[in-house]
Amino acid sequence: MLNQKNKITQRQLMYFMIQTQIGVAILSLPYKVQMKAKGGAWISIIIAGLVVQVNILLLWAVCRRYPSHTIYGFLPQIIGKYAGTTICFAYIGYFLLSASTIVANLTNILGKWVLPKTPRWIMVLLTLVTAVYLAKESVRIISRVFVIVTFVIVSMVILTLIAYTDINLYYLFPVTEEGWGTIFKAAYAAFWPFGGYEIFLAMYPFVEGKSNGILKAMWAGNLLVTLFYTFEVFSCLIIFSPEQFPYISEPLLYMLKGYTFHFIERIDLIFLATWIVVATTSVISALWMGAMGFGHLFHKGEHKISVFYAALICYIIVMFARDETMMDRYDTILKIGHHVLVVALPSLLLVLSYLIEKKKGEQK
Amino acid sequence: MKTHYGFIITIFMTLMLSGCWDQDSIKDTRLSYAVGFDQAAKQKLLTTIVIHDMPSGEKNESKNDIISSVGSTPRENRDYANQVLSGQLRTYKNRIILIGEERAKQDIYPILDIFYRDPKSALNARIAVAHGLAKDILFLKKVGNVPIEEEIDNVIKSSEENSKVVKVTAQKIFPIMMDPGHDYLLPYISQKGSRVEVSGTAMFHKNEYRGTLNSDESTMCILLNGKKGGVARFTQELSEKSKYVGYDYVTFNVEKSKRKMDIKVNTQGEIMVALTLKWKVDVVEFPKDHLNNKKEVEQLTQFLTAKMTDLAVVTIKKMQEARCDGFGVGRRLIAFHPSIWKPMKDNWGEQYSNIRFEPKIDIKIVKNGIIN
Repeated sequence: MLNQKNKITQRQLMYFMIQTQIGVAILSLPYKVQMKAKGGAWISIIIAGLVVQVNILLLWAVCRRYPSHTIYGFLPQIIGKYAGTTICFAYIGYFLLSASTIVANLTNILGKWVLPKTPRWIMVLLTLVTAVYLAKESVRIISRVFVIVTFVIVSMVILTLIAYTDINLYYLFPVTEEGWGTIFKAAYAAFWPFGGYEIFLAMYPFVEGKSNGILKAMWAGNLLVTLFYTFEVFSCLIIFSPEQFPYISEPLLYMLKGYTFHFIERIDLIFLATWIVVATTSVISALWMGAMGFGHLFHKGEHKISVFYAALICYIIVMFARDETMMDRYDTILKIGHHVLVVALPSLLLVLSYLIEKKKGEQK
Repeated sequence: MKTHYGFIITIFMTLMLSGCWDQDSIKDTRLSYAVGFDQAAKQKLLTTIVIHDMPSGEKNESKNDIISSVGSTPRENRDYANQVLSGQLRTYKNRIILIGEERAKQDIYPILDIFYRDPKSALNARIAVAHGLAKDILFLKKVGNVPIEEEIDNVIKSSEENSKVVKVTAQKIFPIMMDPGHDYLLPYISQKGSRVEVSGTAMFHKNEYRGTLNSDESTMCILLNGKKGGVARFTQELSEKSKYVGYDYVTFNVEKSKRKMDIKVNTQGEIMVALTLKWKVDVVEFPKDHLNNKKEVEQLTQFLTAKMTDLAVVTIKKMQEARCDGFGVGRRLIAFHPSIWKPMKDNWGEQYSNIRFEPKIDIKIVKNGIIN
């Protein structure tokens, strides 16, 4: 089924992983975590990162048992055709909904910071058109682009360093002001921006090499993401005073607002421009995953056509999310979906696949 | 080839669309470069906006236009200015926010809110307090050939360089504004004849203006805060009087200043702040001149140490009276002595004014120019 030419290397998998994980949420991540854990927010990020590492291990354990199939391929094999297909739809829905919420958040922030008068539908359209343009290509081409745009993340780090001209390390202390319990609770809030590692479910058969190497690549990717997040959150903690945080919902942009270069007045806009790239790559990944599902079900594994109507579905979902309450509803669905589809179900599948194998062994 | 056409069309679409809704041509706008806020009657706000018009040709000198109005909020006043102006008023190039003394005596956050909230505002604008009315200073319109907004900006900039004031922009004071354990100081500007001067620093507590430090005290405050600008210079009168005029003074630069702030809390919960400064000093003027004599150097060092410690004590006392915690003592308490801080949280200003400070200055003369 899989063309050898369409395979990607393990290093490309790592970049794919980084680009998928780092998305819209990075802008408001420091705000959300600080509101809960105060000075200990950066510890929460590290904890969340470690939890994701464990979760990756789980997904890997499932996928390595079916090395030539994506989730859409091996689901029916484990739990039967009808149930499998139904759950396939659940996965497709989950991925398309994630793509939609990313687009919705992206356009909301753009509307708030730079394009207040531009209608939302045009921003959503332009984002999705860009996403479709790349998502309809093969995995290999997508990963190549993702590798190239990784320099954007490096430039985000450099831009953050500009804000280090005014820092106060005492804002960090007392680190455990809210107690370890709250730091762990805040880790739960910090967990969502790490979302995206579930690309593993559809990505596994496309990666070259041994399964151990694949796991290492995934871990390395997540480790880098954790480091990046920790750095950004830490920077925000020493730049903004704790009492200032409730006022600022996009600290990463706000901290650059007051600085200027000789010929660039607004560094925050430069940061925003780099961030759009990072956010769009997450949209592309999620859209690709959804389209792969449709492709498997209706187009014999080809996703070139399904990308178009997958994007159309996304467009409709985004246009429905006009206000906060609808966005919150999407978020809740996504969180439940994540628990069920990325944590609970894979564990179940892992156990089931062992049992099936055992049974087969007995029959022989 | 089909996909390529699609790509080209997409690019063209974006090119044509961008800016359709959000374009803001500079030729239709009037840029505000300085804003002044004063207290008007009945709790209203008197706003003065200085608009800087770029010269159209190279030879024309730049012009400015000043509008003042009374309203409830800064935004309302901006709208009023927009009504009387040709072109759209824009504030994203704003350089100066000047707050009149009377207005500054009340919480200044409400007038700054618009700057923090608006995504297009310029947070790198300098903030200063005006002696008397901000309006009067801005209505000077020009100092010599320089438009007032530029003049104020430059005057403050050079004071920053001479360690007379700390560099404060809207962005920089935002974290401190919100911090219960830290206060800020702003440049204090007054009118002198037809010129403007930075005559000291305005001390704030809880966003309210509480008093001023004079020029020397400001420099001392900055050094005690460990934030020296380019040059920090003091002139001191000597104690022994000479028969001739002009021989009684010594002027020195603080070349290097190292600050250490230690906060000790004893068992009774009393707070003691030890501020240690280590200076390397360059004597730049000393007509009396016996600096080749070691004993003389020793004497001068001792004299300066005593004088400067006195200055530090006076400065700190003034700050304590104004309740201005410019050193961030409260922040240190929050960070390292949270149990002490908690009961003090609500009346920190009062508690702060009763803290014991122990400034210690260690002076070492390392240079004396090219003559002894």
